Amino acid sequence: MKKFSLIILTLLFVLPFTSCKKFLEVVPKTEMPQHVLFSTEGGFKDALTGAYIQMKSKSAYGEAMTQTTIEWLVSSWDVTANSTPQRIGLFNFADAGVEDSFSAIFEQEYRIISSVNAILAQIDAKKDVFTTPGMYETIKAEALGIRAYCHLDLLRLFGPIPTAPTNGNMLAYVTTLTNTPTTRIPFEAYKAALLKDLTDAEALLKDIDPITKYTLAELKSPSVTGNFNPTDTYLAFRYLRINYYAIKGLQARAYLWFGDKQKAYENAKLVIDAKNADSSPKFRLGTSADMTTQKDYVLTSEHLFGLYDFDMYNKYVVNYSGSGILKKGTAATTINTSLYGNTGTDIREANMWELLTLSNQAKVYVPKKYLPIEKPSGIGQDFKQIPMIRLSEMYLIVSETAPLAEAQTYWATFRTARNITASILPADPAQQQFEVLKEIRKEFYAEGQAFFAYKRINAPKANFLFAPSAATVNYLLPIPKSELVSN
Amino acid sequence: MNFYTTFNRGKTDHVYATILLKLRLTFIILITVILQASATSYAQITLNEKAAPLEQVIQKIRKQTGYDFFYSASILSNAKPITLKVNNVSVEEALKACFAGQSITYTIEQKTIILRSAPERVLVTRAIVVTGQVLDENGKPIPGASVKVKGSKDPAIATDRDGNFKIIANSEDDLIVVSYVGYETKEVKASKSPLTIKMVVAENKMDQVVISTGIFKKVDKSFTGASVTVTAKELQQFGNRNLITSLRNIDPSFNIVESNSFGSNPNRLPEIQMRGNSSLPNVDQLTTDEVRVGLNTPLIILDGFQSTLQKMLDINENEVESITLLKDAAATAIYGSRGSNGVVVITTKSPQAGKLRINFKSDLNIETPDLTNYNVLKSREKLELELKAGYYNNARAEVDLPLKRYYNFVLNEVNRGVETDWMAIPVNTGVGQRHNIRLEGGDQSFRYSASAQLNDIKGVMKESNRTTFNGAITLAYTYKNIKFRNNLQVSQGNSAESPYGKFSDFTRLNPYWRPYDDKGNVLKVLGDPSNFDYTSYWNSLPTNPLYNATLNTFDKSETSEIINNFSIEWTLIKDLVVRGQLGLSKKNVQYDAFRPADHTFFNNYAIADVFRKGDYKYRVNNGLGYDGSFNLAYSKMINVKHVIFAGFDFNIRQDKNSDYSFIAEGFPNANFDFVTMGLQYAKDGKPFGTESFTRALGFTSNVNYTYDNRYFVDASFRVDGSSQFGGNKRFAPFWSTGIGWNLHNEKFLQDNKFVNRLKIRGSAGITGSQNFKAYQAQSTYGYYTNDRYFNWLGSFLYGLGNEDLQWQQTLKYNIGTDAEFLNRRLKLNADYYIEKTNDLVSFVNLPASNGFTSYIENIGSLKNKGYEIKATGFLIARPKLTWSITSALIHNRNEILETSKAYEEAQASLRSSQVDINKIYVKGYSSNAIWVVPSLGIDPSTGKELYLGKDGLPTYTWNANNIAAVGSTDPKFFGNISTMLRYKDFTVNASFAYTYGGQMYNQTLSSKVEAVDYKYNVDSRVYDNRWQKPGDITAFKGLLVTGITPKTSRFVQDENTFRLQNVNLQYDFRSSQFVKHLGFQAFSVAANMADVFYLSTIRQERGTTYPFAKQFSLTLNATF
Repeated sequence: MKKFSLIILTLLFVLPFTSCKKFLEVVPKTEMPQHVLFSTEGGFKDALTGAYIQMKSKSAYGEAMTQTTIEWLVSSWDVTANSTPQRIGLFNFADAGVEDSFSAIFEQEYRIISSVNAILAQIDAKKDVFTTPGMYETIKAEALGIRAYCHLDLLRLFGPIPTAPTNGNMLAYVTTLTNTPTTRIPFEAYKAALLKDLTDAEALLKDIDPITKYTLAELKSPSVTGNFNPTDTYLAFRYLRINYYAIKGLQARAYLWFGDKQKAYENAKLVIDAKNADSSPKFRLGTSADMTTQKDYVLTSEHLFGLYDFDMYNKYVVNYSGSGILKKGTAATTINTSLYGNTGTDIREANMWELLTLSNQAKVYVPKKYLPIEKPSGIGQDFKQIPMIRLSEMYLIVSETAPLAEAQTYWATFRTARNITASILPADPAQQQFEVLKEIRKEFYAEGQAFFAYKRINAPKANFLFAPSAATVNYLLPIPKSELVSN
Repeated sequence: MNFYTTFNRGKTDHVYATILLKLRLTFIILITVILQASATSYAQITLNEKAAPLEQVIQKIRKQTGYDFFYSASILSNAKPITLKVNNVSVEEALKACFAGQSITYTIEQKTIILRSAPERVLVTRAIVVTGQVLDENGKPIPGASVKVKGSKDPAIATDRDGNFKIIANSEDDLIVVSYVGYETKEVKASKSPLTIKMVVAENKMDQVVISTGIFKKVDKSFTGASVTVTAKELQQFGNRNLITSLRNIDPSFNIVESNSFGSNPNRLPEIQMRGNSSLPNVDQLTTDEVRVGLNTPLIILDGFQSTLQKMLDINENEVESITLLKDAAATAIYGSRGSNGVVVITTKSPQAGKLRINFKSDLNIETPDLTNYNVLKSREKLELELKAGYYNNARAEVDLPLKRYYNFVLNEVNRGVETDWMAIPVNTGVGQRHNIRLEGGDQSFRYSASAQLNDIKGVMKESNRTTFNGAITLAYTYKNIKFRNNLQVSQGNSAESPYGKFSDFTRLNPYWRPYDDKGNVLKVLGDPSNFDYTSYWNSLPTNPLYNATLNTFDKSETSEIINNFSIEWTLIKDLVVRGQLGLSKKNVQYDAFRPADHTFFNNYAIADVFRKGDYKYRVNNGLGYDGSFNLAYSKMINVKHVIFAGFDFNIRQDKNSDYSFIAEGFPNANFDFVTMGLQYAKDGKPFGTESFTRALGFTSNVNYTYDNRYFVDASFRVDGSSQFGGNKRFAPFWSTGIGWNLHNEKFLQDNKFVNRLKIRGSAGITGSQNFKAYQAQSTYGYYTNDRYFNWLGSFLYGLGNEDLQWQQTLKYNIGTDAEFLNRRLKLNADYYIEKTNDLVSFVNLPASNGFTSYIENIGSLKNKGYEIKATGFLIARPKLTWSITSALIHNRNEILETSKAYEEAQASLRSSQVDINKIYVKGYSSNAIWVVPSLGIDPSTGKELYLGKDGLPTYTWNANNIAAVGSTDPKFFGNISTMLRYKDFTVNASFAYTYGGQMYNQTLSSKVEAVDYKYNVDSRVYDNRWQKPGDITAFKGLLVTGITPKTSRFVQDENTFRLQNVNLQYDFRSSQFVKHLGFQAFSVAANMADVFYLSTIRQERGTTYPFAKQFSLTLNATF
């Protein structure tokens, strides 16, 4: 009896201790602990998808970084007096409303970065959970690519003018997810970290990215019977995510920003020259027919990387056709004259804009870039892509960075595709830059690239289209207050 | 003889005893030869034998006397031959001679002589039945006293309700041992049955008192903690509303923070604090009152299992044996991470052995609204005020004319005598009732009790009620040294909020409005809707809140709960007891709120939304939890002087909760009030809710050592683990240590008449609290439910977890004394404490580049310091008349020592965005400080209010940055005074409460006196002390200066209160023979009045959304 009691006692004492830690780990129903999420390949896919969802949020590329805040900065839209958009256009960075607008961008960009950092912190340790060939490399490269993409935009927006890198804010290049406050680092260190992420991403994707082997059309229709039959359709639709060419394009964009013309040229040229197996070009410049017949105003054939937004049609109605919030003028005049120069032929001038009458009878002149087919009958007509990097940018990069003669060829090709005369590029590099700048302004209207183009060459107000007369152009945005905290 | 003893145990009833006797007799008959002799009278015996066999001699005696002999033939075989000569002697003498030197003994009973061999004495001993009654010093019976035959191996039995007992002794020489907690053990010879045993209070009564801490039982004389034990009897004498208010009336350290808004709403959980508040709400909880309230609620332990405040409110009071409040570290450290806010230990009654007893208790509760603090204007005064305020004048004639017409309409109404007492409309006298029945009985090995309670509380707002049904069954079984106990509780509650809505919606209505039209129908809008004159005055006419009450609307909830607690106690070896416990609880609450399309809430819906009118809110809350523990207790006395207690406890808990709700809308017809009759879900609505799942473990140990009843030390150590905290801090240690000294046991104080008891104790230790969200330490991902990327679903990180997050810890110091003086006529308990809470859980800011702008960290600390003094004096202590007065005084000072920067910023931004935060928490101030802009009063020259700026200069502009702490709602002192008078069987008990030295923001002055506008009714003080012309020195702005008065120190007033909390009158019919004849064992009646009066230095409307109530009740209590 005594022995028996002793055994029971011992068991009662020992049992609870053996698995305490495990017992205390609970799994929430509406939430998933990080280590549970990252215990499967699917979890990594979901986390990466989450980062893309955050990219298309209104505070980032869904609006602020493509159509609203960043475009108000270059006065792309009509504004009402004493509104935040007007103050943004006047570079009144001290205003609380302006501060909030940029703070929102800043926070969201770093939020996206934290999401991919969470993936990158785990992916190497959990490499063995990946079963689909190429999935590990793809996810890791995309995470690195997103990290570089966002950091580049943060640098371009909040950092110094690249020609005077010491004169401006230092920023944090964040590679870990932590609650230890991050430190802001000098321009050169930031640049090195950014380029390294791109190089790493490139190396991972170079040999395995299906986009290098299959055409855009094939990537659009993975099927067991077709040419392109991936083990997981998460590896299809590469143009909607960071892919090998997106990395190359991003490298071209980054090197151009850092002033490395040679590397910018090489990378841009690689993209332009990319060929399918049948030697047709991988990406093709858009045509008038794309817009008029296909209603593909956003020219998806040029997208190295387009951000898919299923709600794009509704947002178009809210921002453009329904309200005219994002309008330029109440007639075609301003755009046609000041932006396109009344060519009459430019496919953008001719097809991309329209004059609408709102329900309150107000007339608004709005672009149709973000007008997709509301209910596409098939994936071939699904143009709900926010352009993140386009082929046209590659053409404009080489037009600026290639040896003059070669630059002239690309310039001509591009101009011709837009159905305007293939003018002669000036030999003077500064003049050449201004000439390309004008084209950038036309090409990337409502895509958030114009401000960066002005800032990169520290363009004077004279070259700054639509800058309000009261504005003093200021390319150096202050660091948002939410970054400058002390506890 | 096992059969005999087992069966005998606890058979206190004489029926059983008779049966036993018969059994024994039969037994003897079976194995003996029965010899019958003819009876002859007067036994005179003459014998002359020489070496005769014993049997032969017996036969002769039988023949000569007529006595029967019982004996086993076998015992005579060993008998020695007898040689004797006697002449005319008595039977006794003859037998004595016969059996001298024999190994056989005999007994004579009436005319029977029983023989038995000496070694088999037990077998044939005739047991005797001893009956008796155990009484206390005053001659009152003591139920539950332990009665035992000295030296017997049978367990003790307990006396019944009337102190009666029946026990079987072996002989009249046996000693009966009677013992009872708090009394000296008494030994009485069994011979004088029936016995009347008068117990004497033990020299040191308090020394014997056992404190139930919920985990270990501790002896008061060697306990170093600060605690208060309240008995069921006291609870009855101090109130009839519920356990919580009764407890507050007894011990003010169990403090109910009164809500001026919610008054006496029976469906509102009160806010409870013991020794001030030890937690601050987190940033996201600043604006949610309910969470804030929950943060400081003490831990509630019901029979060793964690319970809830709601359960304490709804529990069947009749089932409660005692309540113990544990306050300092030495008392609460055994609860580790849950002990910071103090612990309330509720012990329910154990079934008492005895034949079936039925106790019946019935209350009639009458609640009447207490509107004495309301003073509103009458019709004519009100209209005059509006006229004076210029509401009926307009420079433009086309507006002025309809205004004047509207005025005339109202004036007509006033002249017609319309004087609606709106306040009387939504309230009524609530007549509630409560019935209790309890059955119990059983024997020493198996006992049972069953109880049921129906409590129907009717609030003072019409149709607001709370009905609870509680059923409980307790079974206890003892097998050898193992005790089993199972307690099953089932409860069902229904509650409903008044369809009349908020009380404040009525108090503001103008008395010149009629609630009904001429035909007596309820009007939907107030005023004259027959023309559009009102549009110059009202945009749209105000709605009549009474109208909604006439519709089929409801806001109700239904709660069902099942709790089962099982325990096994096993005395493993002497001094070592093992106990295992398992508690399971399941709870389900359903809320339903319905408003039909006709409800005035939907009055302003657009035409397009006509099918959205009417809504139904549905909410379900499910909880399932278990709580198990394993407990070892060892106590040993060595060489009389050393007493050691050691205890170990392992506890494991799991709690799972879910709560979800949705809203349906479009209920055109009020009769179709079933949720499926809705036309659709709420526009843009989705189901929402919360879910939580927590697990916790605890290992507790406690050691107590006492030397010579004089010096004692106490030490506890607990390791707690919980899923709520960071992966790196899953386990946290808590400890306490205490020392004490019983001065009265020292030689120099022994036998001292002045000092009867003087215990000094001190303790220090750490406890924690963990009233936090279930998953806040984890880095968790959620899934985007309304977003996607292409055709892929995505997940996102909720926030930065903190693997290092840990409990907030409270360091508690306490010194105290328990003393009795003047022959125990004066009792005194005093405690001084300092409690410092560290590691408050709070948000910490991060640079935005971290991806998240904040995370949760242990930062911040808070201090409470104070003392509690309680004294009881027995002014008269005679057997028939006793009168005692008890007074308690409590002082507590609260100070925030540190908060995080993020916390300050969050409050600052809430303030600047004009969110009405009731409380602001700033370092260096009390968490109950009143934050307002200091006012210099009304400028006599302009009539405007002058504020004091941060720069020390007066200013006319109110600026949130000038906010300062002006007073605190913490009183300097608070406490109670109660008195008890008993004359024979009549007892009166009254309990008063007071607070002194606190401040309060007088909301009535701000909203009803210096009102923004006078369109609705206001306080009758509206004309008093108003500024009228330059030079007037007044307290209030001009009548016509009607801008908003933001929070200003002008309305902060000193608050001192005195109130009569409870009066209880009780008459016990114990000594009435009439009641006994009716078959009652006990019968008593009681009358109770709660919240009889309330005096305050502040004139403020009390009970705004729900009025306060006075309660009268009548109670009958009978046992048969």
